[in-house]
Parts: sequence; structure tokens; C-alpha cells
Amino acid sequence: MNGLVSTSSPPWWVRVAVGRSPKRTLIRAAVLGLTLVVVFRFVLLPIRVKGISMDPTYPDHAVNFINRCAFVMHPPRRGDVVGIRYSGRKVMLLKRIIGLPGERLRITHGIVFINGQPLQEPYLAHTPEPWQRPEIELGANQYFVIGDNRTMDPESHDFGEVDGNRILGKLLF
Amino acid sequence: MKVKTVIPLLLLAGVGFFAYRWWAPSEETQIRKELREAARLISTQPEDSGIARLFSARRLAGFFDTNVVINVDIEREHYETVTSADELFQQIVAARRQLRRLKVRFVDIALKFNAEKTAAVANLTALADVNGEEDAAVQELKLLLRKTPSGWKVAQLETVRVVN
Repeated sequence: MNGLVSTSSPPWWVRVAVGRSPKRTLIRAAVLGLTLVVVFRFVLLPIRVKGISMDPTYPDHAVNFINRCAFVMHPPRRGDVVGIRYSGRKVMLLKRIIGLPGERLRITHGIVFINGQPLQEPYLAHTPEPWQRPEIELGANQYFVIGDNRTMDPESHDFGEVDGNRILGKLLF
Repeated sequence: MKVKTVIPLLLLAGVGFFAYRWWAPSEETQIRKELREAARLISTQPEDSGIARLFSARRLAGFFDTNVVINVDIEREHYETVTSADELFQQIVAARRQLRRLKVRFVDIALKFNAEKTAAVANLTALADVNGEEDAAVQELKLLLRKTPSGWKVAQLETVRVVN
């Protein structure tokens, strides 16, 4: 029986689980795993919205992604919804950019004024409450961020100037 | 060298490394461990007795330097300063009387050491579930820690405003 080679193939469930070549399957799985780690750690950060400050555009418990490459080619723009980091990337604020570096901004009776001109905000679903914010001038790397839900109490809504280096990326969807 | 020899050697090296890390933890590991313990002590349950709360408040105050300076600026135009561990202890006890349930976690801890590794700055995000409310309170903190014979102590603590 010396030199006899078995030609019987492995059972179907083994082929389904590991393929015809376990070594290749292992390499494919490793490459896929590595790609997923790189993508979801450094490029697209998965997030779950908590709270109502971006309601109804991004309601409580909505799932989305932060695209970390969005501002590689250009700086953040007005209207972009961005993730703003705390000390790291596990927790972040989700806000809309309404003021850009160097601009003068004020909020009078709920209306945002940029350099003295009222800002059109088509993304606001409800009439804003009469929030007030005295005029400020944004620094060279400062953005003014705010949520889309202006019907809530301004004291329980985080909004204001934020440093550009805290902006992690733009919301994907 | 054969694979059969290499694998056990690698395993042994791995076990040795983790045993060494456990036996002689790095300064960073020590600080992270102390911060985890501090978060556990800050947390409180409704079933905790008055004595247990007092005991954990006393232990918590032990994480701070006697001349600790704490600057808390959470709400706009609401600013509080604490300048000693005793005052801090009184504040903790008073705060706990008002809270039924508090669960605190520190995440995203970033540490920077001085060259001699005798002082460190920790930036972290504190998540607090207060009285079972659905949305956790979030606050970034900056801590200045100093190494003492009895471990790392918080010499300065201040809140960091992400949005001004």
C-alpha cells in the first residue's frame, strides 16, 4: 500500500467552514480581519447617537459612522455635521458647524447671524426657541458648532466655539 | 530551530512578560489602576449604608494630595474651587447625600509623564450615570498627578471645556 494517495475530499461542512485550502482561508480571514480593524479604527468610526440635541436629523439611538478622511483634502465647511472628541475617540459630541474661523457670530432671538447677515438653516425642522448669544469672533482655528434641535433649553444644549483639532471627522450618512 | 521548539519558547516568553508586568507594573499601569479604583469609589448604590459611603469617601480622599487644588467649571458661570483634601472629603460626603445612585467610568485616559516619571498629566473623559438617568453626564478632566511613597496622588484636577 506504499505510495497510495487518498483522493477523497473532506466532508462538505469542512469545505464550507475552511474552504478547499485551509491555509488560504486562514490568510484571507487574517487580511479581512486586519482590513476591518484598520477601516473601523482609523477611517470610519462607528457611533450611536445618544441624546436629542441633533433631533430630528439624527434622532436618539441612531447608528452612523464618522468619516475621519473627510477633511484631508479640504477643511470643515459650514453645514457639515461633525464628531467632536473629548479626551479620546470613545465619546464624542455630534454637532453641526455653523461658524468658520475668523467669522463674527451671534444668536439673536434664535436666529444665527454670521458677520451681521442672518444664516439660512434649511435643516431646522422646528422653529427655534429665542436663544441669545452675544457676538463673538472666532479664532484662526475655531469653529462654532451647534445642534439641530433648538427647541430645547439652551442650558442643556452644548454649543459654542470648538478648536479645529477636536474635530474628528464628518458624519458619513 | 524547529517549530516545535519555537512555539513553547514564545509561549514561555509571553507568560514571563505578563508575569513581570504583574509583578512590577509600569507607572502607567499603576495610574490606570488607581483611576479605575477611584471611579469605583466615586460610584454609589442606593443600598450602600451610610458607613460604607463614608468609608469610600475617606478612601477616595486618600487618592488626592493634602494640598490638592480642584477647579470645577461645569455649568456656565458656575465655578467651584477646592484647595485641600479635607475640604474635598466634606464635598464628597455632601454630594453623596444628594445622590441615590451614581456610576462613574473613566475612558480615553491619555497620560504624559515628565522625564523623571515623578509627575504625570492625565486627560480623561468621565462618564457618570446619575440616579439611573438614561443619558450619561460626560465631562473631560485634566489631572496633575505626583508620585509619592504611598503611590500616585492627584495634586490638581480641573474640568476641561470641549465647547465654550
